[in-house]
Amino acid sequence: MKDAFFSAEALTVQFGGLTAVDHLSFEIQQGEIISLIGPNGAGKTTAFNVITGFIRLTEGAIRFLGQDLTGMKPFQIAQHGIVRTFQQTRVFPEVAVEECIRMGAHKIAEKGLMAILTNSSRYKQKEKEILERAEQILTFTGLKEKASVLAKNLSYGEQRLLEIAVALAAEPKLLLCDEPVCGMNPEESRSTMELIRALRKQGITILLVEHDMNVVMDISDRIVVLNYGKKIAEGSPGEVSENKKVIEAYLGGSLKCSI
Amino acid sequence: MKVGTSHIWYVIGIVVLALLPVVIRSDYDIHIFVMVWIFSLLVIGFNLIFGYIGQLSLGHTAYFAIGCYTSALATLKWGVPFWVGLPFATVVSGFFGFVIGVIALRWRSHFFVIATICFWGIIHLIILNWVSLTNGPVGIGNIPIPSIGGMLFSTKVHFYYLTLIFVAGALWFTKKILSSPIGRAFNAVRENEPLAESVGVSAYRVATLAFVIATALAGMAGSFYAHYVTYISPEIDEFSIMISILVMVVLGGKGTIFGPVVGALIFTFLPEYLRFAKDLRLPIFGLILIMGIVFLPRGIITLPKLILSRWVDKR
Repeated sequence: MKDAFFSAEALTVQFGGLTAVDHLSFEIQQGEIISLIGPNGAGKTTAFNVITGFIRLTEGAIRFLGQDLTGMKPFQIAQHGIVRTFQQTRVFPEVAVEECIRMGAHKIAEKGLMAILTNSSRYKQKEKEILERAEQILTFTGLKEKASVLAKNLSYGEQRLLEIAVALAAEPKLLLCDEPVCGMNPEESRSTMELIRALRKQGITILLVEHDMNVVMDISDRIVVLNYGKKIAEGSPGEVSENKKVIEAYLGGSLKCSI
Repeated sequence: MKVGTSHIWYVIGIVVLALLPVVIRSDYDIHIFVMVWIFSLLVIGFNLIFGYIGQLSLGHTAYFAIGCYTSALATLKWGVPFWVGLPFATVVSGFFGFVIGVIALRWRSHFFVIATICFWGIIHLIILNWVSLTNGPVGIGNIPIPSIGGMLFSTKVHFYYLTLIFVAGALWFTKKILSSPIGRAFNAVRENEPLAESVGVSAYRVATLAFVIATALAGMAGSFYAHYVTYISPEIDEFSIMISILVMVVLGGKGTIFGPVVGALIFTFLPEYLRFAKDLRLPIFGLILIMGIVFLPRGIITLPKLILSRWVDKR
């Protein structure tokens, strides 16, 4: 059997007595767009935080490109090629858009003290590459006109785009987007989804957490459904939307609980 | 090489500062300048950890004191020249910074502040009580004056140039670092730590690097101080000096390359020019500092830009 591009094996996170993520296993193939959905509090964001190292695993393992990433810190996971965006918008507020993107390119930059102080040709070359890459990303995300605007002065939708732009600068192989269209108007939402499709075409694999069912059904190759931290279904959008457990979780589950 | 307007300003700055001792005849004014340059080394470093990383090292005088005593003791007890004592003091202070950073920067913000104060307290107690090494409250005198090939740095003007060269070097060094990917990582950590981590920046390592540079520069400043004043005592490690460092950086402009030096200049010279006010000197000084921070929260370094933009707006 071929090793999966990414695999989560029995991820479990406990906060005290509460099990936020319970033996969650799933795989991602290269080039896929896969979505993680579930009712509020199902553990989607926690699963994200675990995969990117922001929360420690209680149990389980994470493998990526044949390497074991279990227990690594966020910056190490990013260096392995898994980069995320956040549910609550995070930007570098006091920094201009273009500079923000260059800050995102940290892992490919030349950071040797001697190279910097002597202005070595390798260092100059790397800096030039990063600048060019930032230009490309600006054009690609449509933020070109805002290149010299401080991140805090961007509109909400633009800040969300910038977040993706910064993540792209880090050259992700697997990009995790936590509710990328949350709070966007339909127009912005559509163009963001187009952007995500275009990213896939560039060879970036994408894991989404998203609330907007239209968006999820439209864009995903595969969907993993969580409820109370457990995987209750997995499959194509069509399969998932007809799955009894999923319908129950979204429509009837909470009703039954309250009775 | 491209010569921009900023390069011209650097050249003008260097020429003016190099010619100052020719114009200023008063030994006392030169002495104050030397003190400003020594403090500049200290605040340039402090600004890296406080202004750029955003972590308050509230015991920074400890590293200054370590630099003072290391350099003084090395020259007096081992008989090495100042030119060995200076780098030795720099490295030893930086080493202590590394140890404290590795321990305390794992958990940043208030934990780091408390850890740095604790270390300062330890160093202060050691200086006061390890009498056989530090002479305790009496202090150490007769610290040798530096010399180059038989020429003694015996006058204040000599020291003016010596310290000025090192300040220029420190500024060049920080400017290089800050405009590099390392500087971008500094900014990333300060602006949004989780986002920085998510693109592969280790806030812990970056903050530790900044802290090592900051403490090494403090040690260098300490070495210059010891060999300039030629007498050191536990007073160099008083907490009031820490307050001065903080005011210099905030007043001049934290998170800017030249701001702390401007802050050091104003903070040191202003009280001298307020002597005419006699008893009211310090109250007026305090008032000016408060007004500066209220009206120019980003530091006095932003004043020329502010005036320029107002002036352009009016036209």
